[in-house]
Formats: sequence, C-alpha cells, structure tokens
Amino acid sequence: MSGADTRPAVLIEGLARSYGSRTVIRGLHLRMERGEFVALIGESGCGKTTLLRAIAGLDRIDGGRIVTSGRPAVVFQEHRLLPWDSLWRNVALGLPGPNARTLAETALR
Amino acid sequence: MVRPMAENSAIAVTTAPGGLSDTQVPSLKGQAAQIRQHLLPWLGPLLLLVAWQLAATFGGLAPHILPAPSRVALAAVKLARTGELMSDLGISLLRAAIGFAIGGAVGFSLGILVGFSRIAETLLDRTVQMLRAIPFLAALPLVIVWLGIGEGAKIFLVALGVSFPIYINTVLGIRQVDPKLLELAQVRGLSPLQTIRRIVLPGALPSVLTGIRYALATAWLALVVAETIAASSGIGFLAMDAREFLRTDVIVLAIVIYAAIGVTADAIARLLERRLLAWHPNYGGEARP
Repeated sequence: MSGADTRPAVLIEGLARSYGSRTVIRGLHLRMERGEFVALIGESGCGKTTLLRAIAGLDRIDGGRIVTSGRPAVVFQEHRLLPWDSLWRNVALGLPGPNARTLAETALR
Repeated sequence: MVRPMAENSAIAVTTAPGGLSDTQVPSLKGQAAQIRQHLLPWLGPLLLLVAWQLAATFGGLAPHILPAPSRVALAAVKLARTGELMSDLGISLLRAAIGFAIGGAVGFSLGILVGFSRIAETLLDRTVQMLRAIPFLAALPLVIVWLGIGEGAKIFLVALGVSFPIYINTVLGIRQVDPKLLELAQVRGLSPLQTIRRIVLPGALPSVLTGIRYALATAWLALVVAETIAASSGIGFLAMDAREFLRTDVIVLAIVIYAAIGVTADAIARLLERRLLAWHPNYGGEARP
C-alpha cells in the first residue's frame, strides 16, 4: 500500500460482448477505484455474470478494453474445490513461494 | 464353523448371570452375522468342488475328461517341486508385465496427447479408433509373421491389447475434467503445467484407473492366446504340452492359475482405486459395499 498509486483497480472502456447475434454488453464504461465497493444490480440475463467473467479474463470480449491492476481475485458463486486435495492445498492453490502452506493455515485460523 | 459359534453364544447367554450378557448378545450376534455374510457366498463354490471330487472318485467321471480337484492339486505340488511351475509362472507374469508396461505407456501418452490437443485429436483419433475396431487377437497370424513365435510376438500382442483401453479412458478422463475447475486454475493464475498436475491429471484419474482395470483383463487374455498358440515356456505352454500327453490335470491346473492371476490382478487394481481415489465418494473405502 504505497498510497501514491492512483490507478483504478478496474478500468473498462467501450466493452462489447455478444453471443451470436445477441448483443449482451455494448459500449460499457466503468471505473472502479482502489478500496471502492461497487454493487452490480440488474435483472436476470442483463449481463452481470458476463461482465464479471470478462473482468476475470474467463471469457473473450468483442470490443473495448479492460485494464486491471494486477490479477483480479474472483470468488465464484458456488464453491470450486479440488476434491482430491487437502484443505490447505485448496486454499493455497496458485500461491507462489515455499511458505504457501503457512499462509494458507494462517488464513484458515 | 459359523453355526456352532452362534449356538455357543446363545448358550452362554442363558447361563451367564444378569445384565452383562444382555450387552454381549447383540455384538456376538452381529459378529456371527458378519462372519456368515463373508463365508456364505463361498458355500456354492465349495459344494461344487465337493461334487466334482465325488463325481471323479465315485461317479465314474473319467480322469482324462476332467480330473478330480485332488489330482489337480497333486499336479500343482509335483510341478512346484520340480520348479517347472514357478519358472513358467514367472515367465508368463514377466511377459504380461512387460507388455502391459509398453502398451500402457503408449496408450497413456497418446491419450494425453489427444486429450489435450484438438489438433492431435483430429490427426490421430480416427486412426486409433479404426485400429481399435480390429479385434486385436485377429492380428495374431500377422504378428507371428512379423515377429516370429519368440517373446516379441507375445509382448507385442499384450501391448496391443492393453494400449486401446488405456488410450480411450485417458482421453475420456481428460475431457471429463470439470470445466469449472479449469476456470478456477485460470483465475488463480496456474501455469499450464501446474494446471495439468494439480487439476487435469487428478481429475482424469478415475477414468484412467478404469482403463487400467480393463487393460489388465485384456493383457491376460492376450497372453493366454499367444502362449497357447506358440510358446516354449509359460503357463500356456504348460497347458499345451500337457495336452500332448493327455495330462488333463495339468491343463486344469493351468486354467486355474490363469483364473487366479486374473482375480489377483483385478484385486490389485481395485485396491489401487481405493487408495488413490479415497477422496471420491464412489470409491472411498467405506462408501463401497
């Protein structure tokens, strides 16, 4: 936390995404500052999940750009656990470095 | 063995004083029931064996048609004494093991390749599926022409039979990995190699192990055929050699050994499943009846 960094956490410009002939998102601009809470509200099928998946980098986008600072952390709607791995290995999944286990166990405590 | 135990416990209950016996009754009864549960299924095979023995001894079942179980056992002891049995058994097991290792490696590698790469699938899968359509035992005459009747032909045939089930189940396993878990890997920033090691391979394991179980049965079948048609050693040779001399006891012994090894191999595979897939609700030790 340097404080000097004023770049937004997420910056979206002119985002477009369509499935076949159906355009779900068009010309979306969004800026999320660091430490800001943003609630996304809308009826079913209006593109909330599409937007989130695009930010997470899980789906391609058809236009515009998404800039995130660092790798965005994503929490899925339902749990996504590796049933063959232990609890701490699930928590530490993708953590680099040798002290991943310590980090995971501290987080679990 | 079971019945008397149950009766004894019943007697013990009536003579034992007071409430202590009350608590013992259900556990003893439960134990007896458990033993019965384990032993009773063996009653059928046992009766069959006894009937076979009786028919051979008193019923006029000619020994050259079907020798008594006792004579088969005797043949086993004799052959074991001379060392023939162990050396033939060893050779058969070695052929199966080498063939399985080669066929398994080829099937698994191809499966991995096709499972991960759409290009590899486009290029390879049709060919493999067409080759698979050939009953691999039908290739035996060709294999003999290519490799003669030496060890190579037998190992090749086993490897051929093993590679297909392993290939198919490896591809299937990789394709069936939960796409949600692959998204998880992406979000957590796992490298492709990490994704394969942490998610794809463990996810494909149940299917791969199923392939191994199928392959074990196929390996054995291939070996029986190869050894029966052309061999100068091994269990199949033992049986064919015995045929020349009408030694039906040795022939039956060879069949029994083939069966026993098949059962053992399957038991090992099941044990592997239980150990490696303990996390899986369908395979975990206790969950399985």
